[in-house]
Amino acid sequence: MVDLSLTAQCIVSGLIMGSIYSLVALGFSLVYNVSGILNIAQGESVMLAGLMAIWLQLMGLPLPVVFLGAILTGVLSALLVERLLVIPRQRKAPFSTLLCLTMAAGVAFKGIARILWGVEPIKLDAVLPGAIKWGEVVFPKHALLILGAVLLLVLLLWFFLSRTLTGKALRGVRDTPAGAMLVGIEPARMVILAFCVSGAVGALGGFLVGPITMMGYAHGELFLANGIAAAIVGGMGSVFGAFAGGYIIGICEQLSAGLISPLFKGAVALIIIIIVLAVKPYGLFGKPRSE
Amino acid sequence: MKKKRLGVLILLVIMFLLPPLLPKLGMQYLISMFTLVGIYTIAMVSLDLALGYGGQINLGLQGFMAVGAYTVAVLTTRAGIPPILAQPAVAMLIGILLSLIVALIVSVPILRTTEMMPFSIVTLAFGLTVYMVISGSTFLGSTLGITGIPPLSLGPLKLDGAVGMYYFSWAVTFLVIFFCLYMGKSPWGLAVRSVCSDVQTAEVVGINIRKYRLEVFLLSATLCGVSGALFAFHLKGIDPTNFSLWKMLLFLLGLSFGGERSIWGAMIGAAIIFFVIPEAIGKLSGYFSWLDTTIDLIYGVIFILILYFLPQGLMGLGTKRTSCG
Repeated sequence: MVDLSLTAQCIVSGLIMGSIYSLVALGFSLVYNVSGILNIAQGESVMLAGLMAIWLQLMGLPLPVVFLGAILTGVLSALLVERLLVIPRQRKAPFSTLLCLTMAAGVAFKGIARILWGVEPIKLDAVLPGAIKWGEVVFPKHALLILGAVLLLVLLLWFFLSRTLTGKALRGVRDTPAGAMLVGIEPARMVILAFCVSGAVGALGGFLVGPITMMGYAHGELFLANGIAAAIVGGMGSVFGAFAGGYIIGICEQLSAGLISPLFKGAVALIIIIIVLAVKPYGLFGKPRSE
Repeated sequence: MKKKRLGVLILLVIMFLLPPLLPKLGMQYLISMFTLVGIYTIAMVSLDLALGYGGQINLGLQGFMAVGAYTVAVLTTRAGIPPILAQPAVAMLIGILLSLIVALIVSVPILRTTEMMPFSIVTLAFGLTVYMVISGSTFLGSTLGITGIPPLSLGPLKLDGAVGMYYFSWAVTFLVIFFCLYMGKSPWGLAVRSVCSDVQTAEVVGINIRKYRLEVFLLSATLCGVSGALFAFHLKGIDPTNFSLWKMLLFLLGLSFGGERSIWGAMIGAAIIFFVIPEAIGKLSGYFSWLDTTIDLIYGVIFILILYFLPQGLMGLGTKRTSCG
């Protein structure tokens, strides 16, 4: 028999993890769509922001400072990667070189985290401690904060991308780079913007996930792995797809770990990717780029 | 052409003479390092085949290495495995076969890639999820990995010492190198290169693009399985960090050192990345104790500098490369 409360508990933790995955996925696909770059350092930016938040909190600083510090770290690290790629992009370096550069930047970030915070993972105190109990299902109050923040972010992003001029320009570069240039949008500035947004969104993820899982210098790769999986499942193009992909992977992963066996938790993402791509090559919500 | 053959012959003789010579120079420890270079050369040759010839930016090759290595590790160390399968040589064959099978399964979604869902992203996700599987599964030893892998053997034949493993893995490596050199020049190799450099023309002259893409993908994945299986037997213990994205970065950098589409270049790249740089840093860390904690940062910065100032690699210094993929 399927244990109902266990299932519900798994869905709750799936929602929490899914939120984080979708934030990484969002940043990753935004950068790819606007610039054609796979920013492999994205996971490390999340990790840096998370560790920075924990560090600031341990120093006893108030919450707004902690939050700002985390976001700033994320944005700065993403911006650093973007600046690093400027000259190779002007030189028309091949895709694999750009890819290697973002990877090398990721390794350098990892190194910085290791120097500053050591190798032992640390944990953030929950902003909202305690939990709501509903039957046997435990719903941490912090999860409410996460879901609320993610919802707010989705609304903000939707507003930004579809209602503001800058957001529309960003979408313009994404959809038709040449056309965007013709109407006077400078793609280089949009690339900077995309990196900054992805850094900030990822940093939010790092800040929010801090109290749930431990954060250590080697955790970047796991964020990246789940984030990319979510981006692929949702389809690389859309904001909505990134969130759908994140929650699908998060919930399936937790359900399989809780109900079947935690043995092959990591394999769930792989299986979902294979099935989704075999059925829909553009991902669940992706569309082919119009010519 | 003749000169090249002579060079290869000299290289082979030197490689053959190294194990008896090195202990006399008091550098016995280098034998096992050289073995590792040989094993990594196989993986790098397979990357060269995929990237340099086929134009496929396959970022999941370390995942196929992991499949080969973990199959060997599980079959040879776990209780309850039928004795015939636990035979190291048999385990190695199964490991290679399994990486081929996994490649066949993932090739279904991977080769249906499009502009919005490129091959590189899907293979990247494959490599990363394999890493998640091996580091999250208690059956596979999670982060601690699997240790106590016996030496490679077939019946009474046993490759016990470092020297035996050295000869065997380099024999396999040279076999792979000669095979790939041959394949690169064969009609098959030419067809693969045409798919890489000009898809439309290739299609017009009647080359089955899907077939060649699949074949390159399967071949490179299988070679990585070979490399992974040898890796497990050589190190006797494996853990997830051996198959992280970091390894893939090292392969790509090694290839950029050696220059793409140069099989011998792949070998030189492997020697630089997996022998010269670690040795240099190892020697230096004897003098500077702070090197240990800053190692990741140093690697990151070194690699960024290499990519900035030597974008074509050492071998590529004199040649102009046509890029594809």
